[in-house]
Amino acid sequence: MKFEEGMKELDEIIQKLESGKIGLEEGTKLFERGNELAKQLCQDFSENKGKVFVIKENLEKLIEDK
Amino acid sequence: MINDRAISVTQISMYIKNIFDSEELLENIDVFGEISDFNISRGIAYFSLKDENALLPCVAFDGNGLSSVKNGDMVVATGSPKYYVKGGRLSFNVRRLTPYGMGNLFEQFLRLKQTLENEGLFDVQHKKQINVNTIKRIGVVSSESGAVIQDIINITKRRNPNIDIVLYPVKVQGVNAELDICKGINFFSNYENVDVVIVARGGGSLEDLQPFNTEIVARAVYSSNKPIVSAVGHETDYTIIDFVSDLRAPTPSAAAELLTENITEQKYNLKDKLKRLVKCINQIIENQNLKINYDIKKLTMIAESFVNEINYALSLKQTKLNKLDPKEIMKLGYVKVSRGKEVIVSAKSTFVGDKLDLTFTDGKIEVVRR
Repeated sequence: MKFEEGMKELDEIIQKLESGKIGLEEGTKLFERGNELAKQLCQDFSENKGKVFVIKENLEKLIEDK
Repeated sequence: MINDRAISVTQISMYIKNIFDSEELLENIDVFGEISDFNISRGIAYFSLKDENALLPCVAFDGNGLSSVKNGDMVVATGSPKYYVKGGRLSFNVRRLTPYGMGNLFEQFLRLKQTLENEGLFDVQHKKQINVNTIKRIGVVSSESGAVIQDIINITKRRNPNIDIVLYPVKVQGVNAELDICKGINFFSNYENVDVVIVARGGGSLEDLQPFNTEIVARAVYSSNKPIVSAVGHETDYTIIDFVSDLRAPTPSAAAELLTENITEQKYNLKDKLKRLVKCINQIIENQNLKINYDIKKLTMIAESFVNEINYALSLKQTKLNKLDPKEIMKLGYVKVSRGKEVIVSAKSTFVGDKLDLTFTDGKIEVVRR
């Protein structure tokens, strides 16, 4: 699932829930789906995975720099 | 007769060649003069540079980049003299040819821009799509030192710490910088592991930015398999690479911003959404509790009124029952007459001498009929 799609679905869930027209049973189902989505989206935020590499001196070999 | 001091043609030729090759002062020098005898054969340009007193034979191995050069042009040739042993000929090995004088630099820019535009190198249909959402690794062709690469790294990391950056260090100005830049672009073009390439340098004079105004760089960008973002100079600087690239960023920092989603901002968005989600479900539960409380109250009231009704009905019946109680009637002076177990309700059913029981509310007496 793409991040934007997840965020969009989460938005729709919140809008439904905020409408005040949702009962306990449906509300619980929506909340569970929203919670699951948020968990997945949070996984995209595992921090500082990115690295910097430098191609050294025309060796054209990938070397991690910092 | 052999002279002991004589050396061979090869020996003298090699000696002369070595003199030119080892002379540092002759490495990458700029020579200005007028072009004559210009011709291109098999991609190699042969011509002479001349002034009023001298003539210098020249060769440029990348002749394809010089198609717009013509006899009579005043140019600055950058290169080194080489002595070719086999032909016994000195030739100036040209690596770059630029028009002589500042005005010409701009004219050359316009001429090249027109040529490439006519060829369709700037056409929109050739621009590669850049999907920011899918970018995981960015290639950068730029100088290893200086603020540009640091800015790109800092901004990228701040906005999306998960993105990798691969730097191909190049000279971004001076002699042969354009060849270096092309090498970087070509490297990434065939290197599968980057999604997009930024070609960047900081601000500078028109001469400093010249490598990015060269045909060879423009063509390398055009034929790159990877989308290229040009980020050269300041916002007001336009170079040829900006027209041929797939996306022009006004500055190197802007390139990093354009290519990275701000997930730090999105993280706050997601946090906010989670808060709203929890608030919603709490609200629904609270509303449900209120509804339950209301229902209980309503039920209690119904039950209470039901009980009251029953109580009223019961009390009515009680009153009626009370009125039918024999004891209550006896209080008016009535007695119960019985003979043994038989209740006597008629005088005619008694006979003289019968022993009858008279029952009062407070006791019983026995009488004999006469």
